[in-house]
Amino acid sequence: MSVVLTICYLGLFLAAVLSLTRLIIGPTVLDRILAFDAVSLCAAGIVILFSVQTSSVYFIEVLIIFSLLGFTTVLGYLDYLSRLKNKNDPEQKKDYDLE
Amino acid sequence: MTWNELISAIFLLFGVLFILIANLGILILPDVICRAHALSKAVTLGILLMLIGLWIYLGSEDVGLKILLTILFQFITIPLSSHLFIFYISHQLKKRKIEGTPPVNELDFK
Repeated sequence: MSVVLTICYLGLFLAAVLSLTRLIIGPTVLDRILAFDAVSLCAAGIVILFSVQTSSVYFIEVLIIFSLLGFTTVLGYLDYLSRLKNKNDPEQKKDYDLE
Repeated sequence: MTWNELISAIFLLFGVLFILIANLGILILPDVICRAHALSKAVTLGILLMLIGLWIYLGSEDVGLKILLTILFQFITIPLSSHLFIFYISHQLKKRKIEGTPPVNELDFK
């Protein structure tokens, strides 16, 4: 079982590294949001593997919280982007300026 | 290695394989819509397989319905976030088509 767990950990870390590459080189903002969602799902998979390794029940709540964090992050970014109608227009930039 | 561990190991390996393929798709697919498509379906299936493997490994006495609740939660949230993503992109594309600016292939959302 420990060999299988090692293979699974390596696969998930490789998957997270692939998504982090997209998060760094991603040409648009939407690519980066998507890549961050993928990285948070890889973290949820790592929590599942950790729960198998320690054969403990209590990590399932951690799993729910991790996936909820990724979901609300995507939701918040998309809400912000859809409020931001046209960045180059100074009239609208004034309304949504964060500073 | 007992039968439970064997079946659980098979489920875990297939789940990790699906998640790995999804993340590879995020890296190498050409377009943001294709990347969202790769993420939503394959990762949902991979997380489902990994959770079933965890359920088989732990046995149903300790866990109960908690993992079923988690599976339901993942089935709601992952496709919902991907659907909102694609909804935003299609809304932007429709707006650009009305305004008569760039072709569909150049998705430069900044």
